[in-house]
Amino acid sequence: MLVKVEIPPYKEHQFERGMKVNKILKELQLNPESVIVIKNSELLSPDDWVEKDDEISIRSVISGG
Amino acid sequence: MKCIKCKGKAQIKLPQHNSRFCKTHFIEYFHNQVSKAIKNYRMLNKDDKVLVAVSGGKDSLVLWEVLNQLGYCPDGFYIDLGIDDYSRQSENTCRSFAQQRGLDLHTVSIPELMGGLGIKEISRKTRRNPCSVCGLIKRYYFNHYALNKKYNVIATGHNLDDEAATLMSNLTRWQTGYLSRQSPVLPKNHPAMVKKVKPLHRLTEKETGSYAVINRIPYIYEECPLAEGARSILYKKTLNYLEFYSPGTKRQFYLDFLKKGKYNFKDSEQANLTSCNTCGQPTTLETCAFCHLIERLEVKKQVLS
Ligand code: SF4
Ligand SMILES: [Zn+2]
Ligand SMILES: [Zn+2]
Repeated sequence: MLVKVEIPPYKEHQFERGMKVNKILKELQLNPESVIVIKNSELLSPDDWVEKDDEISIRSVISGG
Repeated sequence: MKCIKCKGKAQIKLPQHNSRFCKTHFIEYFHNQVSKAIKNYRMLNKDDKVLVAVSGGKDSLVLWEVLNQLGYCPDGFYIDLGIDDYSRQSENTCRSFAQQRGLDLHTVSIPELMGGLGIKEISRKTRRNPCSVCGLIKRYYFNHYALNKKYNVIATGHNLDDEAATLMSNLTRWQTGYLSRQSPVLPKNHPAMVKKVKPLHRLTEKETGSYAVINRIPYIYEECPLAEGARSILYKKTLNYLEFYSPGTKRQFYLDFLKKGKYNFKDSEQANLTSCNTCGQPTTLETCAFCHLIERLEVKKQVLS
């Protein structure tokens, strides 16, 4: 699966197998309280399964300023 | 994972409430939290003329959407800060949001009002941190514009994380004056002051972000290129770290401060609120900070029409 992290420095990650959203965040060391995970414009929940061929994006919800 | 209300598929998990909701019940929960904030602090009445300060970011657009859904008929107010592409994109985002919903968006442009200067240039010229001049200018024009156009309430999109981060910052430096004033409502303390409210103060950034995605509200999620915000982001991340291991901490920290902590701090400044000798807006000085800035920049201030 392709994971696009839409947080500077905008890294992309490739995983060779399907995983739960929870697990993906853990792998990438992201705090679930600080991000939202989106697939095809739909919000994913921590328990949602992401297939091997899916593409998802992760957005920060923390705003600065 | 099932919705605790309808047992349908849950879309969002809220560990701080030990809850899980489907889309419909999350929206219901979200609106209830906003209604509760409004009621607890007597923020708004249905016949108030409300101006929502919008930036194109998730929080302010979500606030505009919810207030509209709850029947407060709010207008939007966008300030073009003259920060290159970022400002252009932000304005377009607000415009298309307003257009789609048939809402009124008012705009003013800082470069037009301040001799062609944007925030970056103003910051450079005055050698002040961009966010500090930006905050000062925004606050001034929110109030000034609302007063001119006879709005009696300004609503801003500050969420629980913003408020908790501010609280932590004020506490670490024991800013007792700020602590006594930090509130979801800033009342009309002066004839030239418009009441300000923060109806999203019970909701986290994760919740406002989720609400925006669920309701398909397009928003700008890139950061402002001038965001210095390192410190406020550090506080937010620290609070989220605590939240991760101990859900509910952030809410308790902030909401209990309002209930049990705040009254312990005394405010010495508000008592000295007078009118600026140049522009008439409320200030604790003789000439307000905004007029000082204008003077330093040597620009002619344009009067709002
Ligand atoms: S990040 Fe700073 S300069 Fe940019 S809009 Fe926010 S307050 Fe203004
Ligand atoms: Zn439900
Ligand atoms: Zn003044």
